[in-house]
Amino acid sequence: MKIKPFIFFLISLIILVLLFLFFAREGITKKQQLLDYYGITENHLKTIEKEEDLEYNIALSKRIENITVLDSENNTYLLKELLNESPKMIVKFSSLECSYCIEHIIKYTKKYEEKIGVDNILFLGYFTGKKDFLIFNRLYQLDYNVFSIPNNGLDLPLDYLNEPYIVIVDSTLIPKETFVPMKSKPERTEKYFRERIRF
Amino acid sequence: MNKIKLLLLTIVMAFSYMGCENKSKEYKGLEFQDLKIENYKELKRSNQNIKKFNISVEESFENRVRSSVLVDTCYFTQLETKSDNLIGHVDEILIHDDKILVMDIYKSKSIFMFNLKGKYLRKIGDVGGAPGEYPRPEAFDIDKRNNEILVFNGTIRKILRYNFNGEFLGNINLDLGCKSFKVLEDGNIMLFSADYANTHLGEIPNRLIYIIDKSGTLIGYGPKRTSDYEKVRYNLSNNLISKNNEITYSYRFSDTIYSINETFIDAKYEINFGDKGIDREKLGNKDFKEFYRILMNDKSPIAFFPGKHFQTNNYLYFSFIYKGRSISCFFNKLNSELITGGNTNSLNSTYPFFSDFSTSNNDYFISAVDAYDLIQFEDAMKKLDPDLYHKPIYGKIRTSEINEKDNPILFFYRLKEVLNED
Repeated sequence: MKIKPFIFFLISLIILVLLFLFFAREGITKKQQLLDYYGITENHLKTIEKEEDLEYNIALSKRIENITVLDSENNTYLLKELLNESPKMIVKFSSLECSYCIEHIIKYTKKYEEKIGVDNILFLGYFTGKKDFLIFNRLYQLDYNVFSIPNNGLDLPLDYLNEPYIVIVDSTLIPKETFVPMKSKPERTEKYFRERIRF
Repeated sequence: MNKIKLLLLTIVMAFSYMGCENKSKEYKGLEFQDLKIENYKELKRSNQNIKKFNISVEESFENRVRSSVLVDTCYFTQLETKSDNLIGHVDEILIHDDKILVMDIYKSKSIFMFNLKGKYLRKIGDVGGAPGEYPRPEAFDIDKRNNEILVFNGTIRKILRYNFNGEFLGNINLDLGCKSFKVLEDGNIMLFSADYANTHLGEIPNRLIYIIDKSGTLIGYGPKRTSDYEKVRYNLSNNLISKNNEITYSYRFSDTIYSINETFIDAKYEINFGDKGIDREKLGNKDFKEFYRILMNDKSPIAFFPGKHFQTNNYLYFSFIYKGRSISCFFNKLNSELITGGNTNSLNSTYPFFSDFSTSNNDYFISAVDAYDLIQFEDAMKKLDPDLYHKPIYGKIRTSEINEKDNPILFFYRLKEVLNED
């Protein structure tokens, strides 16, 4: 007679284990799926920011997700609406990332804004809340369009580096190139902005 | 043959020992110093005058501290907003004579000086690597004897000295690791080493407090660091040390607030949460993640004191966390009365009450309120009380005149000598 509760317990346990395995796998494979989608190896991702050769950027031949972004007034836009036929420079960052790294990228963007064109620069950042967004705007007083984006960023493998990066992209949403600056290598960033970026 | 083996073994062991010796003689890039304990002054310890608070945790959780019972006087100062003084977050405030100094550690990484009316005067130091510059300010204090502002950065192991015109006067180089500091009455400096073991300091390693003179020379030491929660990186509060005529500190969930001067460390207040407090035996050796997981567990809630506290002449303020909420505690030193509970803005109050204080100065507790938070707060209050703007303080800080991108607003509160509803 006591066999029924035991079977019930066993089935529940199996279901729980399967659910656990499913979700654990989902978590681990999300990054791998992205790497596979863009045809990038884990090793390539790890070394990308250290690479001196600016040609060694991640060639993302696939379309990035058309995410929804918010401005400081809480108006929503699709990423594609903010892009044109001619490419724009997106600076993607998270307010949780090292502030020195964000400031490094802002410094060079400001220095070369005339070359790039203020209207061609988009700052897409993850903020922990509206206040966090406002404080960013208060502190940096940027003349560019700044938008808030979801926590998973642009859903690119580069988001797993937890550092700000640059994507050059047009309305096709297929990135022309990417660049991950390193604050400890300012000459590398300078070279990128001076020689590589063309608008 | 055996003799040769023995010789080889001795040589190997000797080299291994020398290797270990060299390693232990270095600490985070600092060279070993053969310090003899008898050459340094030990701060005497006492716990004879300790005041113990037995907190009824559940009752405090349910209770509300009404601002109308607590606050006698409130006024505010709006810090001027200019393009070169944008504050992201107020981490610490010091008030000296007619100057307000505001430190923002992580956002703008700066110290700004204002006058008491909130007019911006100047920045103290700047971010950078040149003389007089720092990666970011991590602690600061006023040297009243020499009328100097001292700014600490642990990465460069320096205390930078400035006058009140913002001119750089020189460095005090530190030969040990520490987290914060305060200037003592006699002009010497108390270094709060916190998580730094300082094993390079000969016979006086592992001290929570070291005393140096103005040249940076070590002259004294305090008690040993506790081994409780050794694996827990302690970062819940920046305000572990408070100074308002008296220097007090708390460390590593000790539930004790100590007072320190040139010669003594007094255990002054002890907070007892009864069976709702941290079980030291159970949690003492847990690693960082496990410790916080248990601490924040909703099913068996634990009350704990993160260390933040401030004093005025008549009051001690501290807060503790329980069920994810901060509970304020006000101890009236005049009549030994302790009131605890969540903060409530009374509708009959003529001022907003923000009890997440940033500092205290003489009789006043001071809160720094972000412009965005103030606008949100007033919007919520206006729905409850349409006549809000007829009240004196509210009338003066109409949010229509405040932009949410403006610098924070400082609220000064003097509490009543006798708690009542008047």
